[in-house]
Amino acid sequence: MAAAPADMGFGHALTFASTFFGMVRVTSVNNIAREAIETTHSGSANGTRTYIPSDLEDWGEIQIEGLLDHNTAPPISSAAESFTLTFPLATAETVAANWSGSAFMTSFSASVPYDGVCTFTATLKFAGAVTVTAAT
Amino acid sequence: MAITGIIEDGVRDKLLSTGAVTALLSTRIRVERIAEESTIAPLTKAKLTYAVITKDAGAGDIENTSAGSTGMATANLTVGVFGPTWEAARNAAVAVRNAINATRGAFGNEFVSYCFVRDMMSAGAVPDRDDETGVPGYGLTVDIAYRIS
Repeated sequence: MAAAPADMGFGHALTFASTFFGMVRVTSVNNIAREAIETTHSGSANGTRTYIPSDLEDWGEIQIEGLLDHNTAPPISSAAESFTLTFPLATAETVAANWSGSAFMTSFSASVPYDGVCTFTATLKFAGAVTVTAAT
Repeated sequence: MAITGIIEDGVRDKLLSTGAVTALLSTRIRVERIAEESTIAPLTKAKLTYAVITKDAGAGDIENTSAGSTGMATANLTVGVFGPTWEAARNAAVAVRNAINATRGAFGNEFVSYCFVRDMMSAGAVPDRDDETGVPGYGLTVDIAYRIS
């Protein structure tokens, strides 16, 4: 397998079915997780606890920081929507990689400072699995 | 030609391929490492607007891992834009800023992941005599990330 390309995030884009997230600065994917189920028993070798992975996985959530559009209400009451996180094209790539799936908003915060740009942070919960499409 | 990682050459190529820049600067965009013995004419004597791209020491770095280089580096550049008048220098500096600020992609042979012009400041005093001291100019400070391979 080739080494993973190092790259910067400038040029990435997040599209959401409601077109809410237009001017994104930082996108973070957090807390993709599954449980470790303990299988230790009285005969466990060497006195070492043992575990197996859960069959259930949680694709976590996506956190977004961006510029506030004060004319648009955040879609906090909307059903899950399709989203696509598109990564910027790296050198020698013609089709960008993307992560796509379905998500719904679980929190939203806005900041309106007197001496700075108005921003928001929002959290979307993945409704299911995320599909990763590699760049070509 | 393949990527060389000589980013100041890439920025120069990018500027030379931008019509709004060459309309004001023609090909008078230099990189600082040109030796004093260069045959290039001393532009400050010719009352022409020109730009000089300097790769700054410090701050920038090549990104590495335990398995070797990532092939990516960051650097700070200064683009000094000078001219016979403040207006000429300012207009050319704005054209340079617009050509490269918040851009990504090919810069000549190089590949840039981001290029941000951080500020623009006066880089000289109003001249009161006809020599290089006090040539009207503006300096653009550039944060840039790019491939070295």
